[in-house]
Amino acid sequence: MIEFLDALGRHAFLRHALLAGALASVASGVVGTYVVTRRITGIAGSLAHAVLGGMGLAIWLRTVHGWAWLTPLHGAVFAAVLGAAIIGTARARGGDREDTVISALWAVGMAVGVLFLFLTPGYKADLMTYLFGNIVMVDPETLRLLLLLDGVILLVVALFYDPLLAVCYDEEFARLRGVRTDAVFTLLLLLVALTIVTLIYVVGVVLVIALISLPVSAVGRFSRRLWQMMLLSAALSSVLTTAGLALAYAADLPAGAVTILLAALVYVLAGAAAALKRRA
Amino acid sequence: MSAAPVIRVRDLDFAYGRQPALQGVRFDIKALDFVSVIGPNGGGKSTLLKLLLGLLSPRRGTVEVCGGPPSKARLKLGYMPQRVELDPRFPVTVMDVTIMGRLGLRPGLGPYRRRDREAALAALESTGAADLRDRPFSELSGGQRQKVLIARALAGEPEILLLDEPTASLDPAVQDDLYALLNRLNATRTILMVSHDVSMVSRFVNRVLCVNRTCVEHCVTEIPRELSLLFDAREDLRLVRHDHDHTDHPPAGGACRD
Repeated sequence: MIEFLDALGRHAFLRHALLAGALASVASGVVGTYVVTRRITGIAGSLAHAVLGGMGLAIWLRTVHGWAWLTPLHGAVFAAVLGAAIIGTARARGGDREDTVISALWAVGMAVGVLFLFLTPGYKADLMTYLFGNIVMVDPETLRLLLLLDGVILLVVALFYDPLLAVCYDEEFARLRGVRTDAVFTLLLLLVALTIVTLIYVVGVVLVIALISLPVSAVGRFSRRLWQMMLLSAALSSVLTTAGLALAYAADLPAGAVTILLAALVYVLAGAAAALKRRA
Repeated sequence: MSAAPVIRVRDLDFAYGRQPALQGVRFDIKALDFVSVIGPNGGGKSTLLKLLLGLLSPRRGTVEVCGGPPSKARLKLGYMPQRVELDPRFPVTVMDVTIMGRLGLRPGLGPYRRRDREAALAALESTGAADLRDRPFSELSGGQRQKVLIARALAGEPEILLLDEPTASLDPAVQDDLYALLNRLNATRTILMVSHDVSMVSRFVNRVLCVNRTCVEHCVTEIPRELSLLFDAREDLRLVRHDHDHTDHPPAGGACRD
């Protein structure tokens, strides 16, 4: 631990990584609470994988076509928002197609990403980075964008807390009270999309879903209200990303994978604690 | 009374795909009626409720609520769904649930106002659940939950209450309690309640609609006091003549029109 603190003082990339973990934790704690209580982790997983398509496209345009201003993060935001709009529309149209759309988006996003990375000379090795995250690659520009995304997410949640809660808890009732539930649900999907983008650097496309759902589920057993769940899970996520980074640094392991395993461990322990409490 | 009906249904047909669910339904509901909708499972009770709420659209015929299409009258309706449809693990308190009834009466942005909290608390008081307001909804008993969901329906200050099986799976003492509450609320509000339980509803309701693909109105007759004593009744007994054959509902239009 002392060693990690010492390294933090010496290496800017570690400080950036730590900050990125904290910023991503705010988004994932707040929005992950909606994802878990509304039971849409499948949609979140789909959006996370779709993001790879946008990143691949951005890297290809940047490298092969010289769009130097375009970063992978821009591509990620674009793909996530597009995916949220597609799922939101499919859902509003009704029928039994929603599930198919979610699965298709999951796979198509991956395929597009893999294809464009293949077509981009010298970028094949980066695929692993996007799939499993590389928190130590965060630069100050990325941090600024993460901060902006957090700000947008918190503002939207502050303004729409009540209708979002109502739509997650009892959508039919909310619709009968005049709430435009399809619009509110699509807004929720947009929040999920932006949250996923903040997590990409921390844990990568494949592992995002665990960091969105595990901390929230772990604190869920101890929360009586939605906002308590948000605060507790954001705090727990920050602890987990920090501890994951420290452990990974000490043992020279990939930070994303270590963080996810820590999250899973805490989730299991919380479940066991709750079971013991019930028995007592 | 010759006032315009608050709910007016004419020649209503509805089908799920090719499976007819309701056929030729017609009835009127007047202000301050207390109507029980009974019928076998799968007979179309909940479908009828969803048509009145505008969640489903009729294949044929018309549904009018407060003189217009149901979708325009939603804020005048207080709806209580079946409690089994709500996620028991969702982290909400009784107040969180009740105040949802205020949605639609406030601007779309920002938190609930003080007026909303006062109205929600008043609704909880009227159903006798005010002291539960800070409790997690998931920790309540069945009867307590029903009271909170009725309070949520009341919080929007509706003219008509639509309740889907408010007494399902409650024990008889709690059911009595709930019917007494509904009877009080009926003094100022029209109530339409789906129920599977013919014997219990008959004490307070003034009309009974039996829905089994078609819809028949049953007569509710006062029973002479002397006769009700034979049944050891605590309150006035009423007789619901439920003597038609369910396999062959007669054509729409009840015999008890007044």
